[in-house]
Amino acid sequence: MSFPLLVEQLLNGLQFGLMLFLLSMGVMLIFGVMGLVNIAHGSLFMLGAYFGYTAAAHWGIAAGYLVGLAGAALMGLAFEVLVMRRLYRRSHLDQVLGTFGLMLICNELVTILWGRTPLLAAMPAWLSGSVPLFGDLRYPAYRLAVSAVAVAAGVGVHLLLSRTRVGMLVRAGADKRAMVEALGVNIDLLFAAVFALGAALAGLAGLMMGPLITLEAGVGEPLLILALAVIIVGGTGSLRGCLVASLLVGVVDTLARAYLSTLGGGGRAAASMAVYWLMLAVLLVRPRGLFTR
Amino acid sequence: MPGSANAAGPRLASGPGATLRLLIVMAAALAATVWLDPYSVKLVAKVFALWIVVLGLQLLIAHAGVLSLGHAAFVAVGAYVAGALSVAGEHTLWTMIGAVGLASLVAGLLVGLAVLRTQGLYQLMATLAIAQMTYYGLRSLRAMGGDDGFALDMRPVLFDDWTLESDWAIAGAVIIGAGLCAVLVTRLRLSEFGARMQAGRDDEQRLSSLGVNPFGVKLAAFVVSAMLAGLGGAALAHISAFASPQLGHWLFSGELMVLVLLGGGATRIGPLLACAALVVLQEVLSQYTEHWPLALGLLVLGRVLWPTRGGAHP
Repeated sequence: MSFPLLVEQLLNGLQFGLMLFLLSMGVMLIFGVMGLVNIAHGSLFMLGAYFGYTAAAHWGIAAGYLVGLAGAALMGLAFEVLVMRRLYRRSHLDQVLGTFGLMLICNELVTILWGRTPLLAAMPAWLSGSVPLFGDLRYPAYRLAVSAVAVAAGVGVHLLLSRTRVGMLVRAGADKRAMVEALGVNIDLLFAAVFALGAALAGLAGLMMGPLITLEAGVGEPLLILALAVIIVGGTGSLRGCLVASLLVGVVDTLARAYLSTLGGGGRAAASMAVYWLMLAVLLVRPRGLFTR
Repeated sequence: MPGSANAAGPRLASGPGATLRLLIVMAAALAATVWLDPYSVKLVAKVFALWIVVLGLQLLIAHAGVLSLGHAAFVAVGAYVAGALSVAGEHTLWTMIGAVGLASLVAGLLVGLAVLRTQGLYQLMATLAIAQMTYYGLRSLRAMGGDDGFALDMRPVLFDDWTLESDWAIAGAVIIGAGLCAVLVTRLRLSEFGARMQAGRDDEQRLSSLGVNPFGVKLAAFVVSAMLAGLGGAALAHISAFASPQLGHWLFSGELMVLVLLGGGATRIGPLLACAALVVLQEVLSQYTEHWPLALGLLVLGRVLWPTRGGAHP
């Protein structure tokens, strides 16, 4: 394997890792603050992408991003008020089953509304080219832009959590929920806001990934499983752990697929399994995640 | 983990009433197969094959308090072992049952050793991770059809010239086998081992202070449920004469957990009704609408949001 190809795959892996970061941030916040395992988080990814696709087809790309983002956040809000609120105090088993049911419903509704034909979302025309990196190596501009958006979103969430009053309440809620409640904070509102934020991040990931994958019902599920792997690897303690674990999972998955897959059938199997070996190893060695003290 | 210390977990419905109900249902199913057309007979057999799997998972989740989002992997292992034997020309029923039982015993032991150190969410994820690896491993098995799976050669042979080749024969065998599994699970739950499982679910510390190793109890429960899943998988493969990696898909693992939830933790009949409901949704409703998963999703969500007594919650 040549060096430029390695660099390209590494960049692909980092970009995929950043997308996973957008998704896992939401899963982590929702698990950390509300104690909820949300299997339906992949559905929010899917809904963001589909809303964006339809709005972009009617009113242009910019409207697509706006509608996709707002739509995912609103759907998240609806999920929270109608379903999740009743699941916070239930066992993980109930949470998994309830959100699994919600996921089935979302997949079917998407099939009913958009059909079974896979769709390809458009990317902004001015990002469709490639940029020279060094030597002969050129890299798709869109993938770089996607990475930049993910980094910006990550920095935004970091600032929100560490610098604002809302962020302070979220962190306090993750640590000592009962205490925050006792201090008279409107916990319902806080939880709804956290859920909507997580949903918007998932929708953003769906919008960004849309042009790189084909859209079909259930498109968010493999990514959700990877996001759960990120949570296991990184632990639920910090945004930094989540970022490092996302990049690790993204790079391991991409590199394994690029290199091991060339070795034939066994190699392809090993490539698909790489992330799960990583997750299992972490579970056995550090059952609470690499970055949890 | 919230709710895990719920000491008033499902209690086992047993006694003559429950046994009688079970016997009546089995007899009715056996009698019904005589009158049904081949297509419906296969559906009935599929219900009972699924029941075997769900009985094991019910034992694990509702009774031993262990979570698994990866039991489809054991179903797939059972189906592939049965399929491989059939393709290789080994058609004796008892050899098949022995091989499937042994393979799923070993698989359950290895997976159990790895995942039972974890709890709650982490347990779900660990089982899911192993199931995903099994799924991708099976998909890359070129010799066995890769992504597409493979057709089985012939159904098992009971004795020299008494085969289970007809749909009625295989259905009858699966129904009787499922009944035996149900009896086995009931005996297990009523035994001292069953009491240990329940104690481990309710309070591990108390169990270990009684001198019982909770890990060993959980491991035994995990192995039993893996074996039942493997046998159910072998039955599913022989009913449809087909085995594919889709049997190990994580959505199927989720469906199995849903069946335990819908069936409740207390009875054997509950999961059977849940399996019947799923097969009806899948096969019958899908003739009228392709959107049958919507009904399943609403059913599951409704059951979780408005629980009634007798739920499957550990």
